[in-house]
Amino acid sequence: MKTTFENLYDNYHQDLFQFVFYMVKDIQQTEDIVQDVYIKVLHSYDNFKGDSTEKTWLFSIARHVTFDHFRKLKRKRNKFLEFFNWSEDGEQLRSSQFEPEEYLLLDDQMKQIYHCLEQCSDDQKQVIILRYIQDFNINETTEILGWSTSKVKTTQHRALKILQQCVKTSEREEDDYGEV
Amino acid sequence: MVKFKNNEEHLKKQLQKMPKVADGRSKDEVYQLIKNKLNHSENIAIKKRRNKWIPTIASACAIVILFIIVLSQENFSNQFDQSSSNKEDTAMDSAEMENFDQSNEATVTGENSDQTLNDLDDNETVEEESISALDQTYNYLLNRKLVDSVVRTAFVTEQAQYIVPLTLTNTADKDYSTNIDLLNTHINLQKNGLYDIGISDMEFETEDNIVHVRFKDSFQLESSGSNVSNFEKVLSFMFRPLEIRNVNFEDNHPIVEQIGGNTDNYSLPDISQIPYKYFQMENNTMKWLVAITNNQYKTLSSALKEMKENEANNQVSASIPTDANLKVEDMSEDHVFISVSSSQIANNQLTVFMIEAILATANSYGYQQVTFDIGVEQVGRYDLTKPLKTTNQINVIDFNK
Repeated sequence: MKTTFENLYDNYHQDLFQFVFYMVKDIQQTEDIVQDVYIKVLHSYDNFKGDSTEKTWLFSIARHVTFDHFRKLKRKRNKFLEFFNWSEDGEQLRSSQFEPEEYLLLDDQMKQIYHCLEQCSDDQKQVIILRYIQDFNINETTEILGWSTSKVKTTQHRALKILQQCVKTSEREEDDYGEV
Repeated sequence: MVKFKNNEEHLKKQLQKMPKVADGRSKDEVYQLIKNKLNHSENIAIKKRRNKWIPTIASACAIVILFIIVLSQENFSNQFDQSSSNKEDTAMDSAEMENFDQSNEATVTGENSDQTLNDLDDNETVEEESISALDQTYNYLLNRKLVDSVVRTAFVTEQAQYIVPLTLTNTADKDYSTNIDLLNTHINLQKNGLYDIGISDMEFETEDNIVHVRFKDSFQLESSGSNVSNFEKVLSFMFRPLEIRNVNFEDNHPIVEQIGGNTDNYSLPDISQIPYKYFQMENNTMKWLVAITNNQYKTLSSALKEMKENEANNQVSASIPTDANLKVEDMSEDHVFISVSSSQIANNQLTVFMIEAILATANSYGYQQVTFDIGVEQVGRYDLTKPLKTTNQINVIDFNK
Protein backbone atom coordinates (compact mmCIF):
# COMPACT_ATOMS: atom_id res chain seq x y z
CA MET A 1 0.00 0.00 0.00
CA LYS A 2 2.81 2.40 0.89
CA THR A 3 4.49 1.97 -2.49
CA THR A 4 1.25 2.70 -4.31
CA PHE A 5 0.73 5.77 -2.18
CA GLU A 6 4.27 6.99 -2.75
CA ASN A 7 3.94 6.64 -6.51
CA LEU A 8 0.66 8.54 -6.51
CA TYR A 9 2.05 11.20 -4.19
CA ASP A 10 5.22 11.71 -6.22
CA ASN A 11 3.38 11.98 -9.50
CA TYR A 12 0.19 13.84 -8.70
CA HIS A 13 -0.05 15.09 -5.14
CA GLN A 14 0.50 18.81 -5.67
CA ASP A 15 -1.84 18.89 -8.68
CA LEU A 16 -4.46 17.00 -6.72
CA PHE A 17 -4.11 19.30 -3.75
CA GLN A 18 -4.43 22.36 -5.97
CA PHE A 19 -7.55 21.04 -7.71
CA VAL A 20 -9.32 20.33 -4.45
CA PHE A 21 -8.18 23.61 -2.95
CA TYR A 22 -9.64 25.69 -5.77
CA MET A 23 -12.90 23.76 -5.43
CA VAL A 24 -13.30 24.29 -1.67
CA LYS A 25 -10.93 27.23 -0.98
CA ASP A 26 -10.12 26.06 2.50
CA ILE A 27 -6.78 24.50 3.41
CA GLN A 28 -8.07 22.36 6.28
CA GLN A 29 -10.94 20.96 4.23
CA THR A 30 -8.59 20.40 1.30
CA GLU A 31 -6.25 18.36 3.48
CA ASP A 32 -9.16 16.23 4.75
CA ILE A 33 -10.61 15.69 1.30
CA VAL A 34 -7.23 14.77 -0.21
CA GLN A 35 -6.76 12.16 2.53
CA ASP A 36 -10.19 10.72 1.76
CA VAL A 37 -9.29 10.62 -1.93
CA TYR A 38 -6.17 8.57 -1.18
CA ILE A 39 -8.15 6.19 1.03
CA LYS A 40 -10.68 5.63 -1.75
CA VAL A 41 -7.97 5.25 -4.35
CA LEU A 42 -5.93 2.81 -2.26
CA HIS A 43 -9.05 0.74 -1.56
CA SER A 44 -9.95 0.44 -5.22
CA TYR A 45 -6.51 0.55 -6.81
CA ASP A 46 -6.66 -3.16 -7.66
CA ASN A 47 -9.87 -2.58 -9.58
CA PHE A 48 -8.33 0.13 -11.76
CA LYS A 49 -8.69 -1.30 -15.23
CA GLY A 50 -6.55 1.21 -17.10
CA ASP A 51 -9.42 2.38 -19.33
CA SER A 52 -8.26 5.91 -18.63
CA THR A 53 -4.92 7.26 -17.48
CA GLU A 54 -4.04 6.95 -13.81
CA LYS A 55 -4.12 10.72 -13.47
CA THR A 56 -7.62 11.20 -14.92
CA TRP A 57 -8.87 8.27 -12.81
CA LEU A 58 -7.41 9.89 -9.68
CA PHE A 59 -8.97 13.24 -10.52
CA SER A 60 -12.37 11.71 -11.22
CA ILE A 61 -12.27 10.15 -7.73
CA ALA A 62 -11.13 13.48 -6.27
CA ARG A 63 -14.05 15.15 -7.94
CA HIS A 64 -16.53 12.63 -6.48
CA VAL A 65 -15.10 12.95 -3.00
CA THR A 66 -15.23 16.74 -3.24
CA PHE A 67 -18.87 16.66 -4.33
CA ASP A 68 -19.67 14.25 -1.49
CA HIS A 69 -18.09 16.80 0.79
CA PHE A 70 -20.33 19.53 -0.65
CA ARG A 71 -23.38 17.34 -0.16
CA LYS A 72 -22.49 16.63 3.45
CA LEU A 73 -21.87 20.32 4.01
CA LYS A 74 -25.23 21.11 2.46
CA ARG A 75 -27.02 18.60 4.70
CA LYS A 76 -25.23 20.02 7.73
CA ARG A 77 -26.22 23.52 6.69
CA ASN A 78 -29.86 22.50 6.18
CA LYS A 79 -29.96 20.89 9.63
CA PHE A 80 -28.39 24.02 11.08
CA LEU A 81 -30.93 26.24 9.34
CA GLU A 82 -33.84 24.06 10.47
CA PHE A 83 -32.59 24.11 14.02
CA PHE A 84 -31.77 27.75 14.45
CA ASN A 85 -33.63 29.35 11.57
CA TRP A 86 -30.80 31.80 11.18
CA SER A 87 -30.92 31.88 7.45
CA GLU A 88 -28.29 34.55 6.87
CA ASP A 89 -25.78 33.15 9.32
CA GLY A 90 -26.39 29.67 8.01
CA GLU A 91 -25.57 30.74 4.49
CA GLN A 92 -22.16 31.77 5.67
CA LEU A 93 -21.35 28.19 6.64
CA ARG A 94 -20.15 27.38 3.19
CA SER A 95 -17.65 29.44 1.27
CA SER A 96 -15.16 30.84 3.68
CA GLN A 97 -13.18 32.47 0.80
CA PHE A 98 -9.83 31.59 2.25
CA GLU A 99 -6.99 33.57 0.72
CA PRO A 100 -3.69 31.67 0.60
CA GLU A 101 -0.32 33.38 1.04
CA GLU A 102 0.14 33.31 -2.72
CA TYR A 103 -3.00 35.46 -3.04
CA LEU A 104 -1.20 38.46 -1.59
CA LEU A 105 1.23 38.45 -4.50
CA LEU A 106 -1.54 38.67 -7.10
CA ASP A 107 -2.38 41.85 -8.94
CA ASP A 108 -5.89 43.33 -8.74
CA GLN A 109 -7.14 41.60 -11.87
CA MET A 110 -6.03 38.19 -10.64
CA LYS A 111 -7.60 38.81 -7.24
CA GLN A 112 -10.86 39.65 -8.98
CA ILE A 113 -10.72 36.41 -10.95
CA TYR A 114 -9.93 34.44 -7.82
CA HIS A 115 -13.07 35.78 -6.13
CA CYS A 116 -15.20 35.66 -9.28
CA LEU A 117 -14.68 31.88 -9.49
CA GLU A 118 -17.24 31.69 -6.69
CA GLN A 119 -19.87 33.15 -9.04
CA CYS A 120 -19.69 29.97 -11.12
CA SER A 121 -21.67 26.85 -10.26
CA ASP A 122 -19.68 23.87 -8.91
CA ASP A 123 -19.85 22.20 -12.33
CA GLN A 124 -18.60 25.33 -14.09
CA LYS A 125 -15.89 25.88 -11.52
CA GLN A 126 -14.51 22.37 -11.90
CA VAL A 127 -14.32 22.73 -15.67
CA ILE A 128 -12.43 26.03 -15.36
CA ILE A 129 -10.03 24.58 -12.78
CA LEU A 130 -9.36 21.43 -14.80
CA ARG A 131 -8.99 23.19 -18.14
CA TYR A 132 -6.99 26.28 -17.20
CA ILE A 133 -5.54 25.98 -13.72
CA GLN A 134 -4.68 22.27 -14.04
CA ASP A 135 -4.10 22.44 -17.78
CA PHE A 136 -6.03 19.31 -18.76
CA ASN A 137 -7.09 19.10 -22.41
CA ILE A 138 -10.71 18.61 -23.48
CA ASN A 139 -10.42 14.82 -23.78
CA GLU A 140 -8.86 14.43 -20.36
CA THR A 141 -11.53 16.71 -18.87
CA THR A 142 -14.32 14.64 -20.41
CA GLU A 143 -12.74 11.49 -18.97
CA ILE A 144 -12.51 12.97 -15.49
CA LEU A 145 -16.04 14.33 -15.51
CA GLY A 146 -17.61 11.47 -17.44
CA TRP A 147 -19.29 14.04 -19.67
CA SER A 148 -19.59 14.39 -23.42
CA THR A 149 -17.17 16.74 -25.18
CA SER A 150 -20.00 19.08 -26.12
CA LYS A 151 -21.13 19.35 -22.52
CA VAL A 152 -17.61 20.22 -21.37
CA LYS A 153 -17.32 22.87 -24.09
CA THR A 154 -20.72 24.37 -23.32
CA THR A 155 -20.06 24.48 -19.57
CA GLN A 156 -16.62 26.00 -20.18
CA HIS A 157 -18.09 28.67 -22.47
CA ARG A 158 -20.78 29.60 -19.92
CA ALA A 159 -18.27 29.70 -17.08
CA LEU A 160 -15.94 32.03 -18.99
CA LYS A 161 -18.88 34.33 -19.74
CA ILE A 162 -19.80 34.47 -16.06
CA LEU A 163 -16.20 35.20 -15.09
CA GLN A 164 -15.91 37.97 -17.70
CA GLN A 165 -19.16 39.50 -16.53
CA CYS A 166 -18.15 39.31 -12.88
CA VAL A 167 -14.74 40.86 -13.50
CA LYS A 168 -16.35 43.63 -15.54
CA THR A 169 -18.83 44.38 -12.74
CA SER A 170 -16.12 44.39 -10.05
CA GLU A 171 -14.02 46.70 -12.19
CA ARG A 172 -16.96 49.09 -12.66
CA GLU A 173 -17.68 49.11 -8.93
CA GLU A 174 -14.06 49.93 -8.18
CA ASP A 175 -14.10 52.74 -10.74
CA ASP A 176 -17.30 54.18 -9.21
CA TYR A 177 -15.74 53.99 -5.78
CA GLY A 178 -12.65 55.82 -7.10
CA GLU A 179 -14.79 58.62 -8.55
CA VAL A 180 -16.66 59.20 -5.27
CA MET B 1 -5.97 50.65 -11.94
CA VAL B 2 -5.08 49.22 -15.29
CA LYS B 3 -8.25 48.62 -17.24
CA PHE B 4 -9.02 44.95 -17.42
CA LYS B 5 -8.77 43.64 -20.93
CA ASN B 6 -12.14 42.23 -21.33
CA ASN B 7 -11.66 39.40 -23.69
CA GLU B 8 -11.79 35.66 -23.37
CA GLU B 9 -8.22 34.93 -24.43
CA HIS B 10 -6.85 37.29 -21.86
CA LEU B 11 -9.06 35.74 -19.19
CA LYS B 12 -7.80 32.25 -20.09
CA LYS B 13 -4.19 33.42 -19.80
CA GLN B 14 -4.90 35.00 -16.44
CA LEU B 15 -6.51 31.77 -15.22
CA GLN B 16 -3.44 29.82 -16.26
CA LYS B 17 -1.38 32.16 -14.11
CA MET B 18 -3.43 31.59 -10.96
CA PRO B 19 -1.15 30.86 -8.01
CA LYS B 20 0.00 27.30 -7.38
CA VAL B 21 -1.29 26.34 -3.97
CA ALA B 22 0.99 23.69 -2.53
CA ASP B 23 0.51 21.28 0.34
CA GLY B 24 3.03 22.13 3.04
CA ARG B 25 2.98 18.63 4.55
CA SER B 26 5.63 16.04 3.81
CA LYS B 27 4.91 12.74 2.09
CA ASP B 28 5.43 10.78 5.33
CA GLU B 29 3.15 13.13 7.23
CA VAL B 30 0.34 12.63 4.71
CA TYR B 31 0.87 8.87 4.67
CA GLN B 32 0.76 8.72 8.46
CA LEU B 33 -2.53 10.64 8.52
CA ILE B 34 -4.05 8.31 5.95
CA LYS B 35 -2.84 5.27 7.85
CA ASN B 36 -4.33 6.63 11.08
CA LYS B 37 -7.63 7.31 9.38
CA LEU B 38 -7.71 3.79 7.92
CA ASN B 39 -6.88 2.27 11.33
CA HIS B 40 -9.48 4.46 12.99
CA SER B 41 -12.27 3.28 10.69
CA GLU B 42 -11.19 -0.35 11.19
CA ASN B 43 -11.18 0.15 14.96
CA ILE B 44 -14.66 1.60 14.84
CA ALA B 45 -15.84 -1.50 12.98
CA ILE B 46 -14.17 -3.76 15.58
CA LYS B 47 -15.58 -1.73 18.48
CA LYS B 48 -19.04 -1.96 16.98
CA ARG B 49 -18.67 -5.71 16.77
CA ARG B 50 -17.45 -5.88 20.37
CA ASN B 51 -20.28 -3.70 21.60
CA LYS B 52 -22.77 -6.04 20.01
CA TRP B 53 -22.05 -8.60 22.74
CA ILE B 54 -23.41 -6.36 25.50
CA PRO B 55 -27.01 -6.20 24.19
CA THR B 56 -26.77 -9.89 23.22
CA ILE B 57 -25.85 -10.95 26.76
CA ALA B 58 -28.42 -8.59 28.27
CA SER B 59 -31.09 -9.92 25.90
CA ALA B 60 -30.16 -13.54 26.67
CA CYS B 61 -30.48 -12.86 30.41
CA ALA B 62 -33.85 -11.17 29.89
CA ILE B 63 -35.08 -14.17 27.90
CA VAL B 64 -33.98 -16.65 30.54
CA ILE B 65 -35.81 -14.64 33.22
CA LEU B 66 -38.94 -14.35 31.08
CA PHE B 67 -38.81 -18.05 30.31
CA ILE B 68 -38.65 -18.89 34.02
CA ILE B 69 -41.56 -16.52 34.74
CA VAL B 70 -43.66 -18.03 31.95
CA LEU B 71 -42.89 -21.58 33.14
CA SER B 72 -43.69 -20.79 36.77
CA GLN B 73 -46.96 -19.11 35.74
CA GLU B 74 -47.87 -22.15 33.69
CA ASN B 75 -47.24 -24.51 36.63
CA PHE B 76 -49.12 -22.19 38.94
CA SER B 77 -52.22 -22.06 36.73
CA ASN B 78 -52.07 -25.83 36.09
CA GLN B 79 -52.30 -26.51 39.81
CA PHE B 80 -55.58 -24.63 40.10
CA ASP B 81 -57.12 -25.00 36.67
CA GLN B 82 -56.39 -28.21 34.79
CA SER B 83 -58.84 -27.23 32.06
CA SER B 84 -57.08 -24.19 30.64
CA SER B 85 -57.79 -24.01 26.94
CA ASN B 86 -55.33 -24.48 24.09
CA LYS B 87 -56.14 -20.96 23.05
CA GLU B 88 -54.71 -19.57 26.25
CA ASP B 89 -51.54 -21.61 25.77
CA THR B 90 -51.19 -20.17 22.33
CA ALA B 91 -51.68 -16.69 23.69
CA MET B 92 -48.94 -17.31 26.21
CA ASP B 93 -46.62 -18.60 23.50
CA SER B 94 -47.37 -15.52 21.48
CA ALA B 95 -46.51 -13.38 24.46
CA GLU B 96 -43.24 -15.26 24.72
CA MET B 97 -42.60 -14.63 21.05
CA GLU B 98 -43.27 -10.95 21.45
CA ASN B 99 -40.69 -10.84 24.19
CA PHE B 100 -38.12 -12.36 21.82
CA ASP B 101 -39.13 -9.77 19.31
CA GLN B 102 -37.85 -7.00 21.52
CA SER B 103 -34.35 -8.45 21.37
CA ASN B 104 -33.29 -8.70 17.78
CA GLU B 105 -30.08 -10.49 18.56
CA ALA B 106 -31.69 -12.89 21.03
CA THR B 107 -30.69 -16.52 20.79
CA VAL B 108 -33.40 -19.15 21.12
CA THR B 109 -32.39 -22.76 21.60
CA GLY B 110 -33.51 -25.08 18.85
CA GLU B 111 -35.32 -27.22 21.40
CA ASN B 112 -37.44 -24.36 22.70
CA SER B 113 -38.43 -23.10 19.30
CA ASP B 114 -39.27 -26.66 18.19
CA GLN B 115 -41.41 -26.99 21.32
CA THR B 116 -43.15 -23.72 20.52
CA LEU B 117 -43.74 -24.87 16.98
CA ASN B 118 -45.10 -28.25 18.12
CA ASP B 119 -47.50 -26.57 20.55
CA LEU B 120 -48.88 -24.46 17.77
CA ASP B 121 -49.07 -27.24 15.24
CA ASP B 122 -52.50 -28.59 16.34
CA ASN B 123 -54.61 -27.31 13.51
CA GLU B 124 -54.32 -25.19 10.39
CA THR B 125 -55.49 -21.95 12.00
CA VAL B 126 -53.03 -22.30 14.79
CA GLU B 127 -50.29 -23.06 12.24
CA GLU B 128 -51.03 -19.80 10.46
CA GLU B 129 -50.82 -18.05 13.81
CA SER B 130 -47.48 -19.71 14.44
CA ILE B 131 -46.06 -18.47 11.13
CA SER B 132 -47.37 -15.03 11.82
CA ALA B 133 -45.84 -15.16 15.32
CA LEU B 134 -42.51 -16.19 13.80
CA ASP B 135 -42.85 -13.39 11.27
CA GLN B 136 -43.19 -10.94 14.14
CA THR B 137 -40.21 -12.38 15.98
CA TYR B 138 -37.63 -11.35 13.42
CA ASN B 139 -37.34 -8.87 10.60
CA TYR B 140 -37.44 -10.38 7.13
CA LEU B 141 -36.38 -8.78 3.88
CA LEU B 142 -37.59 -11.43 1.43
CA ASN B 143 -41.09 -12.40 0.36
CA ARG B 144 -42.14 -15.71 1.95
CA LYS B 145 -44.01 -16.61 -1.21
CA LEU B 146 -43.37 -15.13 -4.64
CA VAL B 147 -45.89 -12.43 -5.42
CA ASP B 148 -46.94 -12.29 -9.06
CA SER B 149 -47.38 -8.61 -9.60
CA VAL B 150 -44.99 -6.36 -7.76
CA VAL B 151 -43.52 -2.97 -8.50
CA ARG B 152 -39.75 -2.88 -8.46
CA THR B 153 -37.53 0.08 -7.93
CA ALA B 154 -33.93 0.69 -6.94
CA PHE B 155 -31.85 3.33 -5.24
CA VAL B 156 -28.18 4.09 -4.89
CA THR B 157 -26.47 4.10 -1.51
CA GLU B 158 -25.29 7.29 0.16
CA GLN B 159 -21.88 7.34 -1.45
CA ALA B 160 -23.28 6.24 -4.81
CA GLN B 161 -21.33 3.04 -4.34
CA TYR B 162 -23.93 0.31 -4.58
CA ILE B 163 -27.55 -0.41 -5.53
CA VAL B 164 -30.41 -1.27 -3.18
CA PRO B 165 -33.25 -2.91 -5.12
CA LEU B 166 -36.73 -2.67 -3.55
CA THR B 167 -39.83 -4.78 -4.13
CA LEU B 168 -43.12 -3.01 -3.47
CA THR B 169 -46.24 -5.12 -3.02
CA ASN B 170 -49.59 -3.43 -3.29
CA THR B 171 -52.59 -5.37 -4.51
CA ALA B 172 -54.78 -2.25 -4.57
CA ASP B 173 -52.72 -0.28 -7.08
CA LYS B 174 -49.96 -1.39 -9.41
CA ASP B 175 -49.26 2.00 -10.93
CA TYR B 176 -45.57 2.77 -10.72
CA SER B 177 -45.79 6.47 -9.82
CA THR B 178 -48.50 5.86 -7.19
CA ASN B 179 -46.36 3.25 -5.47
CA ILE B 180 -43.27 5.46 -5.54
CA ASP B 181 -45.31 8.28 -3.97
CA LEU B 182 -46.58 5.81 -1.39
CA LEU B 183 -43.02 4.69 -0.68
CA ASN B 184 -41.98 8.29 -0.07
CA THR B 185 -44.77 8.72 2.45
CA HIS B 186 -43.89 5.44 4.23
CA ILE B 187 -40.13 5.78 4.42
CA ASN B 188 -37.75 8.67 4.76
CA LEU B 189 -35.46 7.48 1.97
CA GLN B 190 -32.73 10.02 2.52
CA LYS B 191 -32.54 9.31 6.24
CA ASN B 192 -32.22 5.63 5.38
CA GLY B 193 -29.34 6.34 3.02
CA LEU B 194 -31.24 5.67 -0.21
CA TYR B 195 -30.77 8.16 -3.04
CA ASP B 196 -33.02 8.44 -6.02
CA ILE B 197 -30.95 8.77 -9.16
CA GLY B 198 -33.92 10.38 -10.90
CA ILE B 199 -36.46 7.58 -11.35
CA SER B 200 -39.18 9.51 -9.55
CA ASP B 201 -38.80 12.06 -12.36
CA MET B 202 -39.38 9.43 -15.02
CA GLU B 203 -42.49 7.65 -16.26
CA PHE B 204 -42.49 3.95 -17.14
CA GLU B 205 -44.86 1.86 -19.17
CA THR B 206 -44.19 -1.81 -19.76
CA GLU B 207 -45.32 -3.73 -22.81
CA ASP B 208 -44.29 -7.36 -23.40
CA ASN B 209 -40.51 -7.37 -23.03
CA ILE B 210 -39.98 -3.65 -23.51
CA VAL B 211 -40.33 -0.67 -21.21
CA HIS B 212 -41.19 2.79 -22.53
CA VAL B 213 -39.53 5.59 -20.62
CA ARG B 214 -40.39 9.28 -20.55
CA PHE B 215 -38.35 11.93 -18.76
CA LYS B 216 -40.34 14.52 -16.84
CA ASP B 217 -39.17 18.14 -17.05
CA SER B 218 -37.95 17.81 -13.49
CA PHE B 219 -35.50 15.01 -14.44
CA GLN B 220 -31.96 16.13 -13.76
CA LEU B 221 -28.92 13.92 -13.55
CA GLU B 222 -25.43 15.24 -13.27
CA SER B 223 -23.58 13.39 -15.99
CA SER B 224 -20.70 11.91 -14.05
CA GLY B 225 -19.21 8.51 -14.79
CA SER B 226 -20.68 6.93 -11.67
CA ASN B 227 -24.11 8.49 -12.24
CA VAL B 228 -24.28 7.13 -15.77
CA SER B 229 -23.25 3.68 -14.62
CA ASN B 230 -25.66 3.72 -11.68
CA PHE B 231 -28.47 4.92 -13.92
CA GLU B 232 -28.00 1.82 -16.10
CA LYS B 233 -27.84 -0.47 -13.08
CA VAL B 234 -30.95 1.00 -11.48
CA LEU B 235 -32.93 0.41 -14.68
CA SER B 236 -31.59 -3.14 -14.88
CA PHE B 237 -32.55 -3.91 -11.28
CA MET B 238 -36.01 -2.55 -11.95
CA PHE B 239 -36.76 -4.38 -15.17
CA ARG B 240 -34.45 -7.37 -15.76
CA PRO B 241 -36.19 -9.42 -13.02
CA LEU B 242 -39.43 -8.85 -14.96
CA GLU B 243 -37.78 -10.37 -18.06
CA ILE B 244 -37.72 -6.94 -19.68
CA ARG B 245 -34.49 -6.44 -21.58
CA ASN B 246 -35.16 -3.46 -23.82
CA VAL B 247 -35.86 0.18 -23.14
CA ASN B 248 -37.50 2.59 -25.49
CA PHE B 249 -36.69 6.17 -24.47
CA GLU B 250 -39.51 8.32 -25.76
CA ASP B 251 -37.64 11.58 -25.11
CA ASN B 252 -34.17 12.50 -26.23
CA HIS B 253 -32.12 13.23 -23.14
CA PRO B 254 -28.30 13.50 -22.96
CA ILE B 255 -28.18 10.58 -20.52
CA VAL B 256 -29.40 8.27 -23.30
CA GLU B 257 -26.35 9.15 -25.38
CA GLN B 258 -24.09 8.71 -22.39
CA ILE B 259 -25.23 5.17 -21.65
CA GLY B 260 -24.42 4.42 -25.27
CA GLY B 261 -27.98 3.88 -26.37
CA ASN B 262 -30.28 5.39 -28.92
CA THR B 263 -33.81 6.45 -28.16
CA ASP B 264 -35.47 3.56 -30.01
CA ASN B 265 -33.79 0.68 -28.36
CA TYR B 266 -31.44 0.23 -25.49
CA SER B 267 -30.54 -3.20 -24.10
CA LEU B 268 -30.40 -3.34 -20.33
CA PRO B 269 -27.18 -4.83 -18.96
CA ASP B 270 -27.33 -8.16 -17.18
CA ILE B 271 -27.52 -8.14 -13.38
CA SER B 272 -26.48 -11.69 -12.61
CA GLN B 273 -23.70 -13.01 -10.32
CA ILE B 274 -24.14 -10.49 -7.53
CA PRO B 275 -23.29 -10.93 -3.85
CA TYR B 276 -25.63 -9.28 -1.36
CA LYS B 277 -24.50 -7.68 1.88
CA TYR B 278 -26.26 -5.36 4.31
CA PHE B 279 -26.44 -1.61 4.12
CA GLN B 280 -27.49 0.42 7.12
CA MET B 281 -27.01 4.17 7.13
CA GLU B 282 -27.04 4.60 10.90
CA ASN B 283 -27.73 2.38 13.89
CA ASN B 284 -31.38 3.42 14.15
CA THR B 285 -32.20 3.30 10.43
CA MET B 286 -33.49 0.43 8.30
CA LYS B 287 -31.28 -2.39 7.15
CA TRP B 288 -31.28 -3.27 3.44
CA LEU B 289 -29.87 -6.00 1.28
CA VAL B 290 -27.41 -4.23 -0.98
CA ALA B 291 -26.14 -5.50 -4.33
CA ILE B 292 -22.35 -5.43 -4.52
CA THR B 293 -21.88 -4.37 -8.10
CA ASN B 294 -18.36 -2.95 -8.19
CA ASN B 295 -16.62 -6.18 -9.02
CA GLN B 296 -17.11 -9.44 -10.86
CA TYR B 297 -17.67 -12.64 -8.94
CA LYS B 298 -17.66 -15.47 -11.43
CA THR B 299 -18.64 -18.23 -8.99
CA LEU B 300 -21.08 -18.48 -6.11
CA SER B 301 -18.16 -19.47 -3.86
CA SER B 302 -16.31 -16.23 -4.62
CA ALA B 303 -19.50 -14.24 -3.98
CA LEU B 304 -20.05 -15.94 -0.60
CA LYS B 305 -16.44 -15.21 0.31
CA GLU B 306 -16.98 -11.53 -0.53
CA MET B 307 -20.10 -11.53 1.68
CA LYS B 308 -17.82 -12.10 4.69
CA GLU B 309 -16.19 -8.69 4.20
CA ASN B 310 -17.29 -5.56 6.08
CA GLU B 311 -17.01 -2.19 4.36
CA ALA B 312 -17.24 0.27 7.23
CA ASN B 313 -16.57 3.27 4.98
CA ASN B 314 -19.64 2.49 2.88
CA GLN B 315 -21.94 1.57 5.80
CA VAL B 316 -22.01 -1.94 4.35
CA SER B 317 -21.67 -4.92 6.64
CA ALA B 318 -20.89 -8.56 6.01
CA SER B 319 -23.93 -10.81 5.58
CA ILE B 320 -21.98 -13.96 6.49
CA PRO B 321 -19.95 -14.09 9.73
CA THR B 322 -16.38 -13.10 9.03
CA ASP B 323 -15.05 -16.24 10.76
CA ALA B 324 -17.31 -18.61 8.81
CA ASN B 325 -16.08 -21.68 6.95
CA LEU B 326 -17.94 -22.17 3.70
CA LYS B 327 -18.59 -25.15 1.48
CA VAL B 328 -20.54 -25.02 -1.78
CA GLU B 329 -21.60 -28.00 -3.86
CA ASP B 330 -23.94 -28.24 -6.83
CA MET B 331 -26.71 -30.78 -6.23
CA SER B 332 -28.21 -30.21 -9.67
CA GLU B 333 -28.24 -27.46 -12.26
CA ASP B 334 -30.52 -25.23 -10.19
CA HIS B 335 -30.02 -26.65 -6.70
CA VAL B 336 -27.01 -25.89 -4.54
CA PHE B 337 -25.82 -27.16 -1.17
CA ILE B 338 -24.26 -24.53 1.08
CA SER B 339 -22.61 -25.27 4.38
CA VAL B 340 -21.68 -22.42 6.72
CA SER B 341 -20.04 -23.03 10.07
CA SER B 342 -19.46 -20.25 12.55
CA SER B 343 -19.85 -19.77 16.29
CA GLN B 344 -22.15 -16.81 15.59
CA ILE B 345 -24.80 -18.91 13.88
CA ALA B 346 -27.91 -19.64 15.94
CA ASN B 347 -31.65 -19.05 15.83
CA ASN B 348 -31.19 -15.28 15.75
CA GLN B 349 -31.76 -12.21 13.62
CA LEU B 350 -28.27 -12.19 12.16
CA THR B 351 -28.69 -15.73 10.91
CA VAL B 352 -32.09 -14.85 9.39
CA PHE B 353 -30.33 -12.04 7.51
CA MET B 354 -27.53 -14.38 6.46
CA ILE B 355 -29.98 -16.94 5.03
CA GLU B 356 -31.84 -14.22 3.12
CA ALA B 357 -28.64 -12.71 1.72
CA ILE B 358 -27.53 -16.17 0.55
CA LEU B 359 -30.93 -16.90 -1.05
CA ALA B 360 -30.80 -13.60 -2.97
CA THR B 361 -27.19 -14.20 -4.01
CA ALA B 362 -27.81 -17.81 -5.09
CA ASN B 363 -30.75 -16.58 -7.18
CA SER B 364 -28.44 -14.23 -9.06
CA TYR B 365 -26.32 -17.27 -9.99
CA GLY B 366 -29.35 -19.00 -11.47
CA TYR B 367 -30.07 -21.40 -8.58
CA GLN B 368 -33.70 -22.02 -7.68
CA GLN B 369 -33.14 -23.93 -4.44
CA VAL B 370 -30.59 -23.96 -1.63
CA THR B 371 -30.06 -26.74 0.89
CA PHE B 372 -28.47 -25.26 3.98
CA ASP B 373 -26.25 -26.95 6.49
CA ILE B 374 -25.49 -24.38 9.17
CA GLY B 375 -25.81 -26.49 12.32
CA VAL B 376 -29.32 -25.21 13.14
CA GLU B 377 -32.53 -26.74 11.79
CA GLN B 378 -34.95 -23.83 12.26
CA VAL B 379 -34.07 -20.16 12.04
CA GLY B 380 -37.07 -17.88 12.42
CA ARG B 381 -39.56 -18.97 9.79
CA TYR B 382 -36.95 -20.86 7.77
CA ASP B 383 -37.08 -24.64 8.13
CA LEU B 384 -33.59 -25.69 7.10
CA THR B 385 -34.35 -29.41 7.07
CA LYS B 386 -35.83 -28.79 3.61
CA PRO B 387 -34.39 -26.95 0.59
CA LEU B 388 -35.34 -23.27 0.49
CA LYS B 389 -36.45 -21.48 -2.65
CA THR B 390 -34.26 -18.61 -3.83
CA THR B 391 -35.81 -15.29 -4.81
CA ASN B 392 -35.12 -11.96 -6.42
CA GLN B 393 -37.98 -10.29 -4.55
CA ILE B 394 -35.87 -8.62 -1.91
CA ASN B 395 -36.15 -5.61 0.42
CA VAL B 396 -39.90 -6.09 0.34
CA ILE B 397 -42.12 -3.20 1.36
CA ASP B 398 -45.65 -4.50 1.76
CA PHE B 399 -48.25 -1.75 1.40
CA ASN B 400 -51.02 -4.30 1.96
CA LYS B 401 -50.23 -4.54 5.66
